[in-house]
Amino acid sequence: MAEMTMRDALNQALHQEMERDERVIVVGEDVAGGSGGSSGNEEAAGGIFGVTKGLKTRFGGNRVIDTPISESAIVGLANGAALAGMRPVAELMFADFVGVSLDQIFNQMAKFRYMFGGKAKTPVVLRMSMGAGMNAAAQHSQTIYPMLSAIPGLKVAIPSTPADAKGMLATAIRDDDPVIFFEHKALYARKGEVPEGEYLVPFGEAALLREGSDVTVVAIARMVPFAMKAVDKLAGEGITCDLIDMRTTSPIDEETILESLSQTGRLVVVDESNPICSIASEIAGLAASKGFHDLRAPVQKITAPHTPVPFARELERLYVPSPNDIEAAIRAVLKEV
Amino acid sequence: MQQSPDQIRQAYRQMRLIREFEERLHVENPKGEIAGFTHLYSGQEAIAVGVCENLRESDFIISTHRGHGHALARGCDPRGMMHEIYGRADGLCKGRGGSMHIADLTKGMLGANGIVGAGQPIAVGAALACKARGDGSVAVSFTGDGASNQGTVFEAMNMAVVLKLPKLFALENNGYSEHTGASYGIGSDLKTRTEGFGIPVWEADGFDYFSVYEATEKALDYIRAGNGPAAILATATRYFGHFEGDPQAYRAKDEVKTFRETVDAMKTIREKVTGAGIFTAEELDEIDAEVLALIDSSVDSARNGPVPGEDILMSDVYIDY
Amino acid sequence: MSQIIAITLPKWGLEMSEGTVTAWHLAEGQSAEKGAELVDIETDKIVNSVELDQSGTLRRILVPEGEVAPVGALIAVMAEPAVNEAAIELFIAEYKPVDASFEPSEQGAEAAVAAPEPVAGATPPAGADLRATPLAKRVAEQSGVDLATVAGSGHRGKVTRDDVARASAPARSIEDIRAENATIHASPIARKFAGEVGLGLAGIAGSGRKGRVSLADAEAAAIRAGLWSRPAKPARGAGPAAAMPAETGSEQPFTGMRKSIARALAASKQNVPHFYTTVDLRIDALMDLRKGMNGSGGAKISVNDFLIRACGMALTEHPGVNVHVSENGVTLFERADISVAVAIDGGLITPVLRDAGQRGLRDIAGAAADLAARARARALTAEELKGGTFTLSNLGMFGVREFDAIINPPQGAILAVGGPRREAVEGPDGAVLFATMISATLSADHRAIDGALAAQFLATLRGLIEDPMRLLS
Repeated sequence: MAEMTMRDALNQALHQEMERDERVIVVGEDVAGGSGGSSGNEEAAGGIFGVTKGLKTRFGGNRVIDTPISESAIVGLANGAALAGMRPVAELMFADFVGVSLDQIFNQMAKFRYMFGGKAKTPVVLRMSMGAGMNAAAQHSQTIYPMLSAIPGLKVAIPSTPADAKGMLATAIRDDDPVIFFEHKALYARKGEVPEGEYLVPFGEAALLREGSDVTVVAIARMVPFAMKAVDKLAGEGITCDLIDMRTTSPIDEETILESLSQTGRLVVVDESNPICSIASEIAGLAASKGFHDLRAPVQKITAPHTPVPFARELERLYVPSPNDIEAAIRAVLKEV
Repeated sequence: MQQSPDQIRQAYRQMRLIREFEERLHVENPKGEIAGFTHLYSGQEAIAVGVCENLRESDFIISTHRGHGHALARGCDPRGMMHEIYGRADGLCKGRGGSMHIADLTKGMLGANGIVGAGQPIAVGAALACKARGDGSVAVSFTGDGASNQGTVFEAMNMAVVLKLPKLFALENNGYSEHTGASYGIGSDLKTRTEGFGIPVWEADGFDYFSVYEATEKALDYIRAGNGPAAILATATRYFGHFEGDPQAYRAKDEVKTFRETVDAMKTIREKVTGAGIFTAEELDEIDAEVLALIDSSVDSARNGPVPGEDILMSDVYIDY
Repeated sequence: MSQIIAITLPKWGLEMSEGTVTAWHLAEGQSAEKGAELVDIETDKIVNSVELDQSGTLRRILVPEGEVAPVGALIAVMAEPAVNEAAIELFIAEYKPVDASFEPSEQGAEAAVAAPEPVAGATPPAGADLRATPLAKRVAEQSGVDLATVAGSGHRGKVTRDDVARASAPARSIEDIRAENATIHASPIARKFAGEVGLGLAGIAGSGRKGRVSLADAEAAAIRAGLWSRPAKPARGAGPAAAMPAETGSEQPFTGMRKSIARALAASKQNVPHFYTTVDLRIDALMDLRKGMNGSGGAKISVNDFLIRACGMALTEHPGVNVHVSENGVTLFERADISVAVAIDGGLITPVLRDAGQRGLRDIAGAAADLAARARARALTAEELKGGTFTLSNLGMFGVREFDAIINPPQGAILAVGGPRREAVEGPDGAVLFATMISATLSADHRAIDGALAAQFLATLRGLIEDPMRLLS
């Protein structure tokens, strides 16, 4: 085990998978950077968040490919390369740019296998940064995983720790289905212990990060450390919670959530997305349809409000669900007898 | 067409305003008070001003993520913009948009845009409205070399030709598409590519206000005569990184210094104006001092501006609230 | 340079919220020209230098090499040598750094889960079509409210169901509603319920024979009108599954503890003639007192602690309930040693809280918490489990309304307590009030305790609980 940032853990997974399988390629805007620049440095960026740093130097320009700003063509290129036997890891700098390339994602990669009678394999990994918290405003801060999790044919992975980031990216690259891989930009600098060598985290298995008996708290991405803060604080008062990191929102590990709910009878779901058709709604729906008899209090959904992501610091701080909001929700479900 | 001294004074002031606005933001940005992304326009002033000085009140422009220059050239209030960049409740967009989303619909400024290539189809729509209005108005989209590779731009170009719309494509090649050189990202060249859609292109020196003004004038004459869309292609450079904080490892160390010392847009316009005897250097210095004072006071008031709260977060999602 | 210049940790790009000072290129007291490198800052992405944007003298380094500081933090101060130290100290002391952190708002924890506030100042335009939600229109029709008189709190002044409920509640007295309800074709129990919650039955479509309004109809209408909510029910198992084959299941052998529980309780239920008496206890005053006491520091007192204390006092007053019973006779005890049931993994354990009638509440609270904690940790001594004279079992925290407990021999009685619920009660002037109630059921051994004694014991208990200041004496 070594301590490293999520950024470096992702970088390590890319290095190891590219080393292991030469069909793995990396494509996107500025994944290396610097081509055509006056300094002659052909790896001037390594991705704007530094995740793809060093790959071009190690694996060369045939496998680490800078593209023009053409998101639709980036995803289309990955789709075609995958159908033809390669294993592309494509990058959209910001999840918001799914808006530019949505056809290639939801009409194309998600549907090939089904439409083509089960003959196609589309092993694309589409990496993208997401999330509010850095004042990047309405078009660079969204968490759109609910929208993509709703599309049959796509898998959706959302790590919250460096170890999961490494293990889940390796799993995504080896998966023969298309995987949308969300990286929360406020977590890139989060540090944690990461296993060395080959490390795989299976999809559809939530992580139980805290165990308790009073409330089940389900969270995703940056909401996981926030929820952990609230849960650990309440533990000091004798209120103990199961804290579940979903890790993948397609597939969803229903069993872990329902099993925990059967122990606690109380559920708080934390989701940075907007509230309508959110993952929080999905989990609340799961509790209502399959965990109804275990529920002893109404499910609390903690989400962002139904507004775009605002720019100003003060506005964004109001927008993003906070550890305080989560603590209040846990207290609220405990008030119900 | 010969420009009057008043027009030239106005153009010079606008360029100086953009230059000093951006240079000041470059100094203020690292202090941490300004949040989020800031993309600066320093170096390209002649293009925004050369285009916008040709426009009428009823015309529209749509900008890019690097939008301060276009907004100022179109007449957006510098103080309101500065407050917006500082995320203040009394900013041009109430602190909701920030640097990357500055807009002022009352000035025909349809917004800076965080999505590369998103503006061009929108300007096609504005051009359709101009045509329907029948008053000779035009819509202008600014497009960088990076954005020119988006499919949306190709679609907008073709549709503007098909519908014969009063649309000006203002193509700005500043040499870099984020961290990648334009020579790498663009397969052929922007002029040939644009002409391929059936759009005539007037080329200009993006460091020279007069060159851009004249190219735009010719393109607009063509458009306002009812011939459909036209384009200008102006080449310059940006003095700062893709965003503030970009270490610019893709650039040779002295590249910007060389541009600043040789072809700089402010240097060029000063030399031309004083050389032709239109204004003295002292007269231009007076304008500079007035602009610097305006920026000082805008930064001071923005730093102390009102902080937005819950009411601003929760309103204007729809017409209703 | 006449003034003092703050050098702050720079923000280089979107992601940067802090940086490590890796090297100072100037020492305190050294001067340098504009453009000179002052300090190197490192993030996990980049290393870069801060250059002087004007010439000057470095007077103070506030963040040494190797230390991390947030963006905007004051890391050094520059000033001419002429500026004195005191002025620099003052500048540092008064410097207010920018908060450039990425952390969300620490305020609004409560507001986040509250319902959204109505839009202020939004009233329907006069003369315009009445704007009301379809649900509000239906409730208004059912409760006879004229929508034109209702101020809307929804979007643009739209009238919502809650607005109608508020408008209908104070408009008519409870007597008026009851008098009107008497004329409606409704079941007696529905009428009684409607009278209690202040629901007008007029206009409710009855589902019973000839349109008679049933209790279920009235309850549904009361819920729609926001007058009443269904009390929480105890958790239930899954409903019967139709046409599914029987499941085999797997037998878990009894643990030692379960075996002894099974043996003792089966014997008790078979051999001891149980009878049950239930009383409802209003605990509003107790809750208020508890809140006050818990607010003033010291060991937190639970509702159960109050019950232990009250049982102790009531048992002292009625020693006939504080007994051990055998086949041969009854043993009366003066001291109330109360067994307190504690649920633990795999069973139930009943440590004894001695002399509950004479001990103060805080003393009881501390002792009970200690016993429960050690019970869960399985760290009780055998002595602490022996010799109880009465048992208190409280399942209120599990949402149970009331239940009957099995007597724990040789004790003569056990009190089973359910959880609090809000109930509509008639106030002194006939108005409807809401009270917090709990139910307590005494299981008693009829061989030693008669019904009247059980009732007297419960009456004493009720008196103590409903006038909780007496528990403090």
